[in-house]
Amino acid sequence: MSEIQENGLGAVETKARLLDLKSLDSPKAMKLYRRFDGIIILILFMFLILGVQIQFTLTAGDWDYWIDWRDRRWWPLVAPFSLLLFIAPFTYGIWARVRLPIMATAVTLLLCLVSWLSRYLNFHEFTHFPLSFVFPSTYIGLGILLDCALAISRSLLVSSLVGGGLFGALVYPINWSFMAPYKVPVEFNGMLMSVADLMGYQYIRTTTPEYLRIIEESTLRTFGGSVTPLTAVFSALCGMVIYMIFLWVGSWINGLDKYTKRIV
Amino acid sequence: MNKLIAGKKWLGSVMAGLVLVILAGDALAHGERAQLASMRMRTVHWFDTKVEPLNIKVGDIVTVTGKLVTSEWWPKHMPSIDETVFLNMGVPGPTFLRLHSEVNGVPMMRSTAFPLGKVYEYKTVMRARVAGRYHVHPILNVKDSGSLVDKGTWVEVAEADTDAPFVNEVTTLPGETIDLETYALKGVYTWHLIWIAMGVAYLLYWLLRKELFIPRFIRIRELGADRANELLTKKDFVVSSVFFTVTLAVVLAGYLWAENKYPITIPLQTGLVEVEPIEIPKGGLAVEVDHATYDLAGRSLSMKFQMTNNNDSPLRIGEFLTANIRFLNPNVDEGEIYEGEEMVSTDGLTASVDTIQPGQTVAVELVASDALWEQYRMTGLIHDPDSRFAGMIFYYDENGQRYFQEVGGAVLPNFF
Amino acid sequence: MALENTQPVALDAGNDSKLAGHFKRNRFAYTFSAIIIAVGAALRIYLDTMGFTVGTDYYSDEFQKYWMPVLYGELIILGSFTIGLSTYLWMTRETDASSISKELELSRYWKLLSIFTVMAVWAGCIASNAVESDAAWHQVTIRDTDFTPTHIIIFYFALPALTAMLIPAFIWTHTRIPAFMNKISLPFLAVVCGILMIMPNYGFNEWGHTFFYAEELFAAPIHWGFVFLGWSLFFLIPLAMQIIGQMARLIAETTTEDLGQSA
Repeated sequence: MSEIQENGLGAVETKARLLDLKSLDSPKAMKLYRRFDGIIILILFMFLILGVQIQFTLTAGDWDYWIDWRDRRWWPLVAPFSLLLFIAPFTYGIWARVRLPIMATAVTLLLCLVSWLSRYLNFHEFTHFPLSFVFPSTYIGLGILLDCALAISRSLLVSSLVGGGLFGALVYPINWSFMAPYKVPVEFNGMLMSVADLMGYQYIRTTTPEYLRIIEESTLRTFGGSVTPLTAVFSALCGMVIYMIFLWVGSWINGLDKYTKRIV
Repeated sequence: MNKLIAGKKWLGSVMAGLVLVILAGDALAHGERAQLASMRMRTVHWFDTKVEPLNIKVGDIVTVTGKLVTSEWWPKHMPSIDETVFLNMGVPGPTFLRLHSEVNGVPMMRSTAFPLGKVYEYKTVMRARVAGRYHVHPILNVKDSGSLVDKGTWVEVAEADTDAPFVNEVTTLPGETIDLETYALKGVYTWHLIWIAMGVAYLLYWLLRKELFIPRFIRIRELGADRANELLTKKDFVVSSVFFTVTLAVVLAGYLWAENKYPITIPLQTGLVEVEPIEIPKGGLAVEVDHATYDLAGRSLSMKFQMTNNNDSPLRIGEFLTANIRFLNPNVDEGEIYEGEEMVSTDGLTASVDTIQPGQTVAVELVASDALWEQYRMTGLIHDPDSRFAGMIFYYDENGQRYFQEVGGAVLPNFF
Repeated sequence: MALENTQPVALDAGNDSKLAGHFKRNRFAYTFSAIIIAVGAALRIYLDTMGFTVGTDYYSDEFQKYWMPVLYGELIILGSFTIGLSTYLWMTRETDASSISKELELSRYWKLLSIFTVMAVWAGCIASNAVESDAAWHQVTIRDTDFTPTHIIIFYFALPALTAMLIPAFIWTHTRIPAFMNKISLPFLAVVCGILMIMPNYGFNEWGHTFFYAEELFAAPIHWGFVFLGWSLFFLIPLAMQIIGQMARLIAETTTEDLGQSA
């Protein structure tokens, strides 16, 4: 109450806000509020599906389409970067206005569901790839960690450091549980290949040649070959930074719930 | 959903059947006709392309063999094939399984580089995987330039005799025999379901509550930003902590489980492999291009050369090849035409001089003329920003030995 | 119009059973969602059957026969739908906001949510069907022109259809709901403009693919223009907050009487 008056709201608005608050005790109003909840969740989630699909497929899609793209150096860096960037502005808005730490889980879960449907329809039914070659990765656990970090710490800053960091760092481990079998070695025509490489070779992709893959190439400076952990640490850093930057973008966007008199 | 898919399949097969009936016998191109005519003439000359057999069943083997010469007239502004190239196959998705491919005897699982002006003999062995009628094109993907497409050959793939699902078995180095069609999918499904369940549970916890969007909005507006956290309860804290811990535990457990189950793994393999090129066989014919004109109305390319025969046998020009179109000289009647081969004009080439005697230097005019120029959109030559052509002439000595070499130069249009 | 009885719609005060009431309230959303899902499914079946069979060569007679009429039809339908509906909505706009009762206003918010539901369903269809069909197509097929079958569906129908719904929805909202009348909602404008700009961005995409980017890498920077424009969906949250604020007020005010009785 006192805060509202301090904010310099007019008497009419103050009275109206009191009424808003009072409506929370009205079963009739609450019924309508719940009806609204159902609709807004449907609308928001469906648009999120489109948003994350456009975002992810056009920034990290190739790594997610093909198992022979999921390498140790680029995929664990690109995928969380792309996702955190998309999640942050939504998290900011929903956290600031309704205090729900759900957007990271929602985005990653919806991405997973739509990816499965899309891979089945487009890569399996339409273009005949076996699902074992084009199944999506999972990022749901990372989304839960990011949301929980926010729910526990109740701080966007702490959640970017802890949650953003974990989101970046754990991409490889969380997917390893079902990705490991595709990295088993095979001998083919006298050359060493992983099962994934072999699938990439056998299942013909006319305009996705082998060289197109943006994957780890050998270097002199491997620092003892610790590619995966090093990438995880760097990815954690990227995760923290990009998440913070786009939280800031989110704060700007969410301040724009304004009206204008004319189109500039 | 299942019903929808089933319905779709039924309708799909009826419509696909209808389309096949309508299209039977038609020659469809697959992207190559959209490329600039001069670029098709000056990149790679494919020849001796042979696809066999042409009528097979799912599970049967198809072998594609052929040769190509990388053009010395390669456009300088275009990233060159002598940097990175991959031998590929133009088919609609993995309707075939590639079992083997090689260039000059080197297996081509990876990318390579082809120096210009050399010969490359390639071979690709495939196993039919999905029934249908396919226009099979050998392809070279050239990094940053695009796809160079050879002519297509129709291959008819019928359903297999048995109803058994298609199997693609390989044996891994640890000794396990696996079917790549379904390999490790159980694990993929299981882990995905676990995570989906976790995600759904987490969302349900937060979304199934009496006060959600509007009530929380009103309360937060009332409390102000500093006190908004009062909306989060102790239960929220505890449940979030549990989810956080369980998630970390599942990630760790999954990782360790996989490490234990698949102790031997390797990173993805990549890097260029080298191929030793073959030199173009020397036939002893010295060729100088004087002049070339393209006759729009007559759909013909006419080229004037000075040719000197340094061979000790008389030579006869039997064929001109450019942009995958073969123009054969009917008087010479050499050059094999393979079953199902397209883009061949059997009487498309006329030579002003039939036989060039040893030591003789003559002016020769070759005219390559056929409606194929039009059909394959080679008439677009005059719209190209770089009006030069290149092609291969094939000539024969008296024993029927074939030689070939590349010719090229500027080309002028003749409008009337 | 402003005088019609809107109590049942706005306040859910009808006498129908729970389920019947639900369908009655949301009949707009159900009907139009069903229609667009049918349209989407028809296009999908067409793509599946006619894509690889007659769609790989723009210069073939088959392509001109089976795909180009689809393209022209789509452009004509979407163009006339957008222009026609937008013009109609503008011509029939409300001129006096004060004549709109609170119940009617609230019922219009529910209608707005129904409109958004239909668009959201279409967004889901695009995401699950159209987006990666283009990826799958390009990665197994040589691009010949800008009019590949998947482009004819996603670039010239699916995404423009979202714009074709958003523009009339924008006009409807700003001519029917008092809180939006005589001014413009900034986040709503941002969403409409972002999705609309995807179409001009095809120009950059196709120019780039013919000029400097020959590969079919889906995550290539040449495609990031679409990503940036997709970010316009970030503005859904402030737009939702505008709607939440207004609806909360209306619901509170229209249920006050009740409150008085129960207190």
